[in-house]
Amino acid sequence: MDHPPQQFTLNELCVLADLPVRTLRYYVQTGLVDRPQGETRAARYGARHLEQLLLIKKWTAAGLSLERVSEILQGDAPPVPLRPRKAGSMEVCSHLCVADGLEVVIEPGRAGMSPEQVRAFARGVMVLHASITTADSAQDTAVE
Amino acid sequence: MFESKQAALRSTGETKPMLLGVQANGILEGRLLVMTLEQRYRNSSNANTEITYTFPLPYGAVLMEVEVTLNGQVLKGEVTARTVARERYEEAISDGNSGIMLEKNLDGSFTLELGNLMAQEECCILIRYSQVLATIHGQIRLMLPTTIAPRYGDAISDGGFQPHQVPVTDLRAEYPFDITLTLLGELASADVASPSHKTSYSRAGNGLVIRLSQNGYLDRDFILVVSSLKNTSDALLCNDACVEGQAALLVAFSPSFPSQVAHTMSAKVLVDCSGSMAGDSISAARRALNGIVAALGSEDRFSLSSFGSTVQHRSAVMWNGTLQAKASAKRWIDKLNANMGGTEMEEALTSTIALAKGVSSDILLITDGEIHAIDKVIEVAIKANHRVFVVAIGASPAESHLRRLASSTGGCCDFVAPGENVEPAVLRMSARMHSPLATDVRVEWPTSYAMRWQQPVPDFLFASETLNLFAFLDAPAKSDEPISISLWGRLDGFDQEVQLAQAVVSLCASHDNTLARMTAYEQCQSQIGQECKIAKTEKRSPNEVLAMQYRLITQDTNFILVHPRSDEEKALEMPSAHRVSQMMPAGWGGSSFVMSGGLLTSPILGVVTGATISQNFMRNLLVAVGSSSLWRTNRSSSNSVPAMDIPDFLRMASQPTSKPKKAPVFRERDKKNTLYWVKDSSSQTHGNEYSYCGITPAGLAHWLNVNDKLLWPESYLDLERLGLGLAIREWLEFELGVDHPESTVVHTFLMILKAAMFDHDDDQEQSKNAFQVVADTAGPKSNGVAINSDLAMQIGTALQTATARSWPDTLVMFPQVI
Repeated sequence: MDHPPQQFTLNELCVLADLPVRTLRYYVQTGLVDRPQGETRAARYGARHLEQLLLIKKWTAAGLSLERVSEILQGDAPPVPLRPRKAGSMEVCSHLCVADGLEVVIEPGRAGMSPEQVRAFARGVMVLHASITTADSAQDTAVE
Repeated sequence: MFESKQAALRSTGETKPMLLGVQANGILEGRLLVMTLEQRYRNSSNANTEITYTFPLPYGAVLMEVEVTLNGQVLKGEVTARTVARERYEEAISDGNSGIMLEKNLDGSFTLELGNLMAQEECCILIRYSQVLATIHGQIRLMLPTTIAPRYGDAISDGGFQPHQVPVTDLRAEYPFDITLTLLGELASADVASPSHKTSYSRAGNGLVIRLSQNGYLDRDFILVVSSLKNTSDALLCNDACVEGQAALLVAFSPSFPSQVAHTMSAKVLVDCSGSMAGDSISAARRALNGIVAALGSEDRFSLSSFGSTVQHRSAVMWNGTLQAKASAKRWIDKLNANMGGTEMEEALTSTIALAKGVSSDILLITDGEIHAIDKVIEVAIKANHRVFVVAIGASPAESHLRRLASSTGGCCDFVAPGENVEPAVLRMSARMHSPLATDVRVEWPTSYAMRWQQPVPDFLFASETLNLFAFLDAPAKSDEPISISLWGRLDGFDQEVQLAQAVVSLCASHDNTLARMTAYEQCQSQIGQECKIAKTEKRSPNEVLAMQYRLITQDTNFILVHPRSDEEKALEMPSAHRVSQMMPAGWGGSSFVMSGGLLTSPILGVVTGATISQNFMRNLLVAVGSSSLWRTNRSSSNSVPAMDIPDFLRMASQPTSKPKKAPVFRERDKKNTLYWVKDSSSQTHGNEYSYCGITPAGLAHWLNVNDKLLWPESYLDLERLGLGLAIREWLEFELGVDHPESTVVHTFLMILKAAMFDHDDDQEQSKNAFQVVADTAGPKSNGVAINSDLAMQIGTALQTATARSWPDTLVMFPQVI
């Protein structure tokens, strides 16, 4: 005899996922988590909702933004093209000035990089530039 | 299955705004401000909606009352424990009823949740707060923040926000803002000005009423400066309506120090050059810094650092405030730009603190404070035992963050709005940093007072800056004798402790038990983080109990209101979410320029607006664009290139010269040859703290030998392109260039260097005798350019200790005098 799939109330799901009720509702409202079966007090959630919540927790703990997590959660579909930024959306970008006329723009949230990774990347770029320019000037040296 | 596949909330681009605007009304009497904010909402959609709005309040504001009007019906809520409030709110939503909750966030902002506002319904939230303002050097600065700027870092892990509370900014968002302020008592006849808005002034009875004279928006702090006030100490005593037999006391001390010689200042200057500072903020930062450097005395010491994603130090040691050092500092300041990326403040502070170890100094931080991870920064500053003085810049700086950072380290915070004259803030900051310290500060309470709780006295005091202290005590018996409270402390140069201030107590009646509630709030704040022994049977912490007793919204308590709906009106499904986006702060990140409040005389209003414009540039722009207070541009600040930075090949193409058309022979610099070039600054140190990176004396001499004199550098900039280190170039410019033209200094320097014959492999051999070098070089003319023999002698003497690989210490360490 098949057991019916397990269903949870909102509060039960929150306990299982170890998330505040408000946060879980926010994820449902924003589409990160599927809507329940039924509404208000009659709303019921299943294993798929729990799985989505655990994935969200995993990726946010890794430092990804909710927008990035949403793209990952949609990853079963064919390669998801980079979602264009919404008109009017604002983001804080880092502008790394490598040299006069050479700049790298980093938006860590979209790049999925933690602050430590951004710093390591910045240092790596500077070292690479230094090695390239030193090598070029050595080739160009024409000592008379 | 829901339609949306995106994680982001639908916001102003797809629905009409649901926040219709904010109206502020305030009364300021003495130092007590009572402000009412009316937020108007309308559910413009056709579905039940949950509106979330995270908004700022001033640092030190105490929420007194929340009143809700829903579809014309006035509703009352209550303050209860946070967990209880959240449960009740969620129950209300689950049951299809409406719920309104107000919660205080970790950064001092508040989040309003308006759940199940039905389609087309309107709601008005009235928030009343009280705030005790401080008189600083005869001035009160009233600030009302209206927006939260984008912050660097993660809002959830660094900022402590829950996902639904995270403030998001939308460039399209626009919400009207209006304010009416009434000043009473002595304030009504003081000098009043608003650097942030165009305002009008009128008399109403004995009060002065200030209103906006132009449409306002929730895009910048509202600032009102009341000046020419007397620095006086006073104390207010009121009975506490919540606890029988208890009274609340507010003492405002205005300390004055006996005449003393000002201390020398020792400050490590750290400037925020992150992207958020672009535009108005970095301009204001430069002005503030130039003012501070100009005010330095020759005995003062300072260092200069800038930060963004990384930190850069102009010098590894502290410089004295000599003319040369100040000139070098000005050059560095004028080149500052908001092009260093993110805002890694913790790392920058750590690195700056590590400079000049063993030298006791303060930190002067110039920033807009827009980061989430401020607690880590505060931790670093406290551990390092450096006072942090903050000049907060911008239309909407993170006031709470920066005041906490300053006060937790014994420093101070001052604010400069876009277009505001920076000199007063600079003078105040300079005065504080030169001020002698008052230590061992204590309050002498009247012997007749039985104190129940008193606010801790800070470790440091600044002259002419009000110290507000709250206390609870047994309600004293009435006395005809005047009662006074004294403030004592120790000052350098005085053997005994000195009385710094004395306040006479006045009895007063408190509307709505305001004074007692503000005192209870301060008690809650002082008890945060302290270990509280709670009996196992106790379900609530002492702070929770205190906050609920006095109806205060704190870290432990929320305001909650549940509005039951009839069965026909109940919501049948989970409400749609609408998060009210923040307006982009005016001038933030170079997105626009803020015109200051302006100087306008309106014959209709018959008043003069009080804002000032500090620079001719801004004044001319105001005339050019009319009276609009905001000028939006499309230009990116990072695209501006000063004319001096036009590459040579472009300059040579457009400016015909008499020189032969040869490409610059920079390829002749052999950077791989360690005789000619120092690549790694750690490989060449001077005096253990200075390092040099760039072309060596031998490298420069070699280059001069292999290149025609017609191609020799003629300017300091040319020397920079050749790789001559900054300190040496600044020595040429600020030491020698004071009395001689640039081309003469550069030419003479190169001639001396060439004649000194460094161009050989022996890196230990010093140059020829300086006098011999000068004799070889000087003469009526050399290559058509006259050589000044005095100048040549100066340069020759300075280069006396140079070797083939190494410049003299005195030059590398410039402008520090050895």
